Amino acid sequence: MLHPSAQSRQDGHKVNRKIISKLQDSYLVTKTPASRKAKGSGRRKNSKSSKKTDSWFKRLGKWILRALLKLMLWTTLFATLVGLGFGYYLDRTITKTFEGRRWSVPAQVFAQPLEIYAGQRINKAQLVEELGRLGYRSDANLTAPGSYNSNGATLSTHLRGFDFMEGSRPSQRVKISFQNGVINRVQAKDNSEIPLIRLDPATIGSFFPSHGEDRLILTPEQVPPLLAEGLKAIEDRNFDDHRGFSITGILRAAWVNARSGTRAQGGSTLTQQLVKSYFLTNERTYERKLREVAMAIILELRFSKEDLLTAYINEIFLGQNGARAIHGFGLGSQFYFNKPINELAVHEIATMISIIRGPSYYNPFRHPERALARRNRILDTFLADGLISNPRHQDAIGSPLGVVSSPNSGGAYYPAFMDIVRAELSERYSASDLRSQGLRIFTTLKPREQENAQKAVTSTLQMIEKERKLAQGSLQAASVITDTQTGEILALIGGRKGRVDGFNRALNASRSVGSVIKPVIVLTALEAGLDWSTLVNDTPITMTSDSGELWTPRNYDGKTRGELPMIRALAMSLNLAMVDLGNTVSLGEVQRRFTDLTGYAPKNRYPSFFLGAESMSPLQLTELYGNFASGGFHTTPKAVIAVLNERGQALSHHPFDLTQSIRPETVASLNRGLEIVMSHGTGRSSPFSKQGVAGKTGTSNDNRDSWYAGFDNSKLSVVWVGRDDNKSTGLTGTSGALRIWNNMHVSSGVDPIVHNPADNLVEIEFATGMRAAKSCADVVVIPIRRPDTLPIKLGCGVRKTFGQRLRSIFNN
Amino acid sequence: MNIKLCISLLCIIFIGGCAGNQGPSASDSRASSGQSRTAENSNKPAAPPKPAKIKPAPPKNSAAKILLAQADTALTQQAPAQAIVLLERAIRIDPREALLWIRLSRAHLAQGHTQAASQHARKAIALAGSDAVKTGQAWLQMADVLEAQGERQQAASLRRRYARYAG
Repeated sequence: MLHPSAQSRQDGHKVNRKIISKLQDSYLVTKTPASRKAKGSGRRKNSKSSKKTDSWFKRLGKWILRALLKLMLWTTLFATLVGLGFGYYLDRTITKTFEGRRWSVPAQVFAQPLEIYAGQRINKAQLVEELGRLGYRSDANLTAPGSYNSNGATLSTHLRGFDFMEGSRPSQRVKISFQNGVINRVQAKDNSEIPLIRLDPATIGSFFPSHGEDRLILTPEQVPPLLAEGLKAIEDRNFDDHRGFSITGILRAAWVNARSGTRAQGGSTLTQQLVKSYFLTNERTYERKLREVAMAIILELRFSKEDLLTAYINEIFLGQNGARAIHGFGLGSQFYFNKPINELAVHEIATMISIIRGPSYYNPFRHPERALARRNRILDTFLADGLISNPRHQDAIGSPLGVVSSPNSGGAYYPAFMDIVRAELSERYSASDLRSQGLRIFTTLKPREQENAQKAVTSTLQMIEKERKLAQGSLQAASVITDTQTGEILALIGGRKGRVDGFNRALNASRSVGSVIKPVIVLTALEAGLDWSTLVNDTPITMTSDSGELWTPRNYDGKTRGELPMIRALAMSLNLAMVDLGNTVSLGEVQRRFTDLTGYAPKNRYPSFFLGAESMSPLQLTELYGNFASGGFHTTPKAVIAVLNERGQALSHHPFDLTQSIRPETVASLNRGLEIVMSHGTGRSSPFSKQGVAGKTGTSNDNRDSWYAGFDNSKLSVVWVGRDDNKSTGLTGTSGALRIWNNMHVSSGVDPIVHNPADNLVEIEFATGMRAAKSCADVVVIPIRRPDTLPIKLGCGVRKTFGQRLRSIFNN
Repeated sequence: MNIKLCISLLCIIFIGGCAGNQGPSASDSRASSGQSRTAENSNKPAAPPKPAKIKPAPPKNSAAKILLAQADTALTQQAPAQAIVLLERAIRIDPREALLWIRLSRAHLAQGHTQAASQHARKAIALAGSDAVKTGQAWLQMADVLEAQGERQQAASLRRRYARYAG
């Protein structure tokens, strides 16, 4: 096959040969007839030159025409291919995104529900607060689920239905009676007794994608008809008829833009808005618009109108809550009105629709007048379109915006607790499962505890900073609160600002624990057969490490106290005495016990470990103290109870997991000692110190860290206070962390520790460890294995036992 | 000197005698007395009357009591997983009730989780405290766990010791 140019050259040669032949023919003819020769010689000449010119132009023209045709053909072919490829790309992109987002249901995380039964210790005000947290509203008629009515000593409520782990509980009306801060009766609508019922649990978060979008997915059946019709009326009147874009809309927008000289208006349909929302861009260019239109057309071709409208309702951006973007009406309803979408009134639906046009501009919290004006225009449109009746319109127009700026808007949001939920689940579920499978996660969190603890942390730090003239915001804190018997985490505070998703100090701040570690030494000593009355030396000591380094510990006040009983050494947190005790039982043995109780070996292998030169996080310390608070059982603090799939089937249940770690009588004895720490030692400044609580304070070197770990009958709490830059705070465990713990218990008080009456309790003098009686000053009651071996404090009226008298005879 | 020596020898004998009598705790002594009564009865010509079953006091907390009853139903219906969920809920309400932990141990045992069953039985023993009936039932539950773990002798020994509390 010839190259086109070669072909063209060959064709040219053929043409030339024909011309020459024709010229020769004409020459021969003119030579033969003489008359013709004279007549037309001049004309022939002209004709010859004209013929020559025409052929050349004609040929050139034809050639150009052919070339142009070829060029067009190739260009068209190329453009078609590119267009098809781009169309395919757009189709793939938008369809994949739509399908992915449509079924991408973030896992929902629930707190523990409040149990309601006769005998439950909760007063009416607290229950109202709890209902308010769940978005219940006061309504004398209890017309709809999510309402309550307080009347005298009773509170009636219309509970929302909920799918619990064990099954569904439909919505129902309940009457609760109170007496002396306790529920004394729970009745159904027909006055029959209800022995046990629970509130619906608070939604405390969901696992939304890393770019911060959160949503609560609604199915088409869950979308209120007024919302669907209202959206169409306001945002896209021709939604049911168009094929993804509206020419009239675009022309109108173009006209407005041309007149204003800016790109002020977009003629987007709901489908186009949906496309725009998927790709997170507000860029206003014609290129983007074209792409948007193309994608909208593709979506319309591929999916039904109902699918598209539902996707829009679940997708549209409705505001920002810190780092969390509020997407969709499901979550928007919780965020702005603190209730589920099916409970929204007409004016509330109109408010939500009004926000779409500009979530920032029409933010009802920041710009209520603007939002109200737009809401009322929307209500007028509802009326004009026959979506609502005149009385409903009047009623709605007269209603306030009704948005609630409660801390629980958008579902209670506890990022610090969510961190541990995420960590626990990461062992069993992938991140994509959590973000897309619609899992339902039931957790151990008690919102009341969480809110109370967070409030105590924030207010106490502010108070301390003010009192000590420290820079505002310089102090930080963290806390973990667990159930003493099950080890379940009831609250977790990651920093002084609860709703900020930042560095989680409760899980990740590993700091020297100071004296809170000392109970491990005492436990080892008790297990080795020593007693609370055993004398230890609070005298100067210098120890040499293997590398020859000298270590000379000191007491916090720099003083020494000589011989004193073990209980006093622990209660007063005397460093020298505790080092002496540690040396008596050996560092290796103390560290072995530490490993048993925490599940990991300490990092510090030197005697400074005795004084808490060991970094731990508040969560790790909680695990250690859980052994004491539970009565001798090791539990790993846990946050997840169960995970259900979207159909309500259990995927995993996380049962109680405990292992006996300390003998019951030994741990009972240790806990008595920790109670004395509170009543007579470093915890005595606490207003609860003599109310049956056990605990230990801790302070690290240079007052960098302030710790408190303590428990009552039902709750174990660990509190840390320090600075993020690890500089000195000037606080001890008592003046920092313990104050926070005190404030955590101001409103609810403490639940005193219940003792086993079989404890071998003996009264001893706190200062000397001698056997004494209550009539003597400074006496503590504590289990002693061999009370008959104790020396007796004279003048206390303690009579020697027969054995003691025999022994004294023998000794003499 | 001789007098002192005699006194101290007497003392040693006395203390030694006391040490030899260590053993049954309050609950144990009740258990042994129960056994001796059974032995006495067996000598009588007539068939011994069946000792009345000793039932532990139900949970004081009304909610825990209801959940315990539901869990017992679930256990009889061979639904230990459901029983575990109910019992854990009950324990969240009343965490120091030994009976709930005994049943939780039973539910785990029914599921073949002997390790969990053993630890929950221990928890029940620790919480039962001075309640002899609950202590006895907790030990009997431990006997069941031990048997499932292949420790038949220990299980039998515990059953003999706490037979009186068999429900």
